[in-house]
Amino acid sequence: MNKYAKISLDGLIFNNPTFKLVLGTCATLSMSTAALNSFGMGLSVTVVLLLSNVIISLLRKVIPNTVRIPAFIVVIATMVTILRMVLEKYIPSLYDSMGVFLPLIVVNCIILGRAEAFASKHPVLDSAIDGVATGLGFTCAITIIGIIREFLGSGSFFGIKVMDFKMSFFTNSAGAFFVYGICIALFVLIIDQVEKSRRAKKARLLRVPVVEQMSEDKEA
Amino acid sequence: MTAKQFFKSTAFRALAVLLAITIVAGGLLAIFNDLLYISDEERFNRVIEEIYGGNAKVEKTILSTDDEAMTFDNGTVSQVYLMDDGNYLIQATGKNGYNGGTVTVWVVHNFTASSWKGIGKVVYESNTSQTQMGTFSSSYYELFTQYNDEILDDMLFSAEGETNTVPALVAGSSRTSRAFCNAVNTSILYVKSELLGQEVVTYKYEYEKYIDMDKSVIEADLAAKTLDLSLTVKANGEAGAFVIDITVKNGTITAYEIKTNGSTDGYEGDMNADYLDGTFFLEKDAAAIKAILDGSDVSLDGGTITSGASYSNFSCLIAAAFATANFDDLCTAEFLPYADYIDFEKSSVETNIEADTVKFSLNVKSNGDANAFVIEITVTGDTITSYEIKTNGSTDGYEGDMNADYLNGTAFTNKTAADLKAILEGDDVDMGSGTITSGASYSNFSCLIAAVYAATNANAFRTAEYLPYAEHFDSIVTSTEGTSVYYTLTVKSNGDADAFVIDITVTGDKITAYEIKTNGSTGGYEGDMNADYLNGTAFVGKTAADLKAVLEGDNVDVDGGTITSGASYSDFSCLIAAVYAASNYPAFVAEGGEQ
Repeated sequence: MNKYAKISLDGLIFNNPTFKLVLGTCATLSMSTAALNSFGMGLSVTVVLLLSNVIISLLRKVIPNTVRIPAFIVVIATMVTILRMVLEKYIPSLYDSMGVFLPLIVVNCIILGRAEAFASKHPVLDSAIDGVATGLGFTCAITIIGIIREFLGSGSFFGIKVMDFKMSFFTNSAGAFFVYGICIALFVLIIDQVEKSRRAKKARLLRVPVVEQMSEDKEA
Repeated sequence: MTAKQFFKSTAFRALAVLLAITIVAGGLLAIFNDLLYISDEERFNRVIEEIYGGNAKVEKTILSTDDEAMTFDNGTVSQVYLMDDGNYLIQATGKNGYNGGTVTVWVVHNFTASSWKGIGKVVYESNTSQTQMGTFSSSYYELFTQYNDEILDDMLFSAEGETNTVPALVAGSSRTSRAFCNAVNTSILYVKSELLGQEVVTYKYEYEKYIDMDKSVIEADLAAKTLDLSLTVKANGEAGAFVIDITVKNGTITAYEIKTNGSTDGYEGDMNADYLDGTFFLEKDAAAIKAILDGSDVSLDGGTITSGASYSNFSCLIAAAFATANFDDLCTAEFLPYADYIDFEKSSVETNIEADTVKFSLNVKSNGDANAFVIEITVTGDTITSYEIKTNGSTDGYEGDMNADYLNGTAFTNKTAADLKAILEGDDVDMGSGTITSGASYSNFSCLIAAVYAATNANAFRTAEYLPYAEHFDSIVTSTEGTSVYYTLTVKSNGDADAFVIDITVTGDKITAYEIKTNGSTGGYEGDMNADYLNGTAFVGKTAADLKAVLEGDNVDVDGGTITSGASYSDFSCLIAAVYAASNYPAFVAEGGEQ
């Protein structure tokens, strides 16, 4: 598989920050009461991820190891502050709905995690793609949770009322954890199935018995 | 490690890189801040766009951002506009949100032919400290427009469904909802009081709405920085009125006793034990009490604390909150003993610490059939040494019926507070009606109460705030070391000049150091100031007599606060600080220690 395709798929699906790595939980649970807010938060994180990954990757050979974390945080905080100013100027409705969770993007572990694990060790283009892919993976995940919670909790879809029936359980914290847990379980189930069929396909191509292949996988 | 080794080390490189990144980041933020700045006008245009779709004009500005915001019980109104459709657009901020924060909204109040028809629209603008804004949407704001019949019937909005309110309007966070309701209610109160001329109850002190001020007694001891309160807490829910005695010293509660417990039968035992005996509140200040009030156990609007005797416990807590939160506002001359009889705004006090005198010019409020008296009294030490009636408020024909010794003051001179209180508590005097058994009973009482006030409270005025020239300062901070007195004086804003902060040292009888820490000159006037005033050389080495001579000179207008010069207000501020410091040196060096 092409390197960039692998980076993209890892960020979007196989190392999805929300469902697989369970990072950025605070933002996920608090902002996913409505699908539109979730989508906005996801895109905001994507923009910050992209910019911070690019800058940190550019500076990776300059920043000494001893001060890498403070340096990363300065860069991330600057990007978030600029994003805040842009949102307040041009999309005030999103700015208002995000409230205190917009500045809290600074301490979102997805961003610091990718900076530390990827951007500080890879070239700029790779880091940019990783930032976009991870951000979009987060966006998709939080939007899915937002759609479910808004539909069941408020009877609407992206702000459009679709039914009168609603359960307020899904708009509060307990419901958020419930939906999050269910989504993680479903995601893991689907990915496991996908992984199994990939291994089976690979085994058929290599003409290696599936049982032996699975044993080799287990030993690995 | 040598310097060369240090500059080649990883530590230095790490610091240098981090500093460079920070500086570049700061520069970027400064650039973007300028590029993306949102002016007040732009914010206002956004509101017009959202409410009217951009097709609206302001007919008249009633209250703009340049004016002082109007304060109400639970919020403020900062902008008011009459729009060309005849409706009013009001910007209101509601308090008591989550974490003590606020919510700011724009409210359209509909008027038809000058008749108020209720709320037309509510638009959210901004908030402080709220974290659940995502749960609030246009559907919540629309709720405020659906109860106009009730609003016109004198009801208000509430997040908790109190009495005399419409059903609770809550979305997501109850505290943020409360701030929203307070904001809209504030705009309603503004409309009623300012636009419709109705009487609206407003409160001067924090938490005053829970206290029956008419039945409460508050006494201040300014010299000891102590407040003695006997507070009557209004009946609250199922609990009756409480009477609680509290002593607050320097902002901290030192005594707390429930004199009358208003709990309904059987609930007294359910109250918090340490609320009942008062130990909970001892050593607590305003911040500590407020932190409890902001906790999740307490409902300010509902008047409850989560517990067995929720209303009673709340009453105890709110009394402590009132006593501590308002300490600075209550520990003033307005609450000195017998202050009820004196119109303090029309009175004046001057203290001379060196001579140990306090000179009063007291305006005694009109009393029964007698009009106001103006009486000048001097207290030296603890004794009245001079007493003179400057304006006799007796109604026609009664002056001759006044006690002759009261008229000429001999009844009061050489008397102490104890002597005069003994007369006040005698059989001839009826404090309730303000009379003394005599032909001119109200007039005589006025004379006596003035003497009692002066003698009792003279010590309260032997403080920095009542020394000569003190009226020019917002803050006077002093400390003494040996024969030197160190001042940090905040001179009040004066004309076009903002407040100055000036450090002055006086040793012996001369100013030995003078430094302007904060220059309050506005709009480029600092360069026009007298250079010797700016660098302090005009004052160093001068005595009080030298400086008073300058103050009394032809080019100084003390009443106007100016000196004839390019920066007249600023120069005056500098001069008056020097005069105060030098003139009152004996008072501080005699007192000793920090004040």
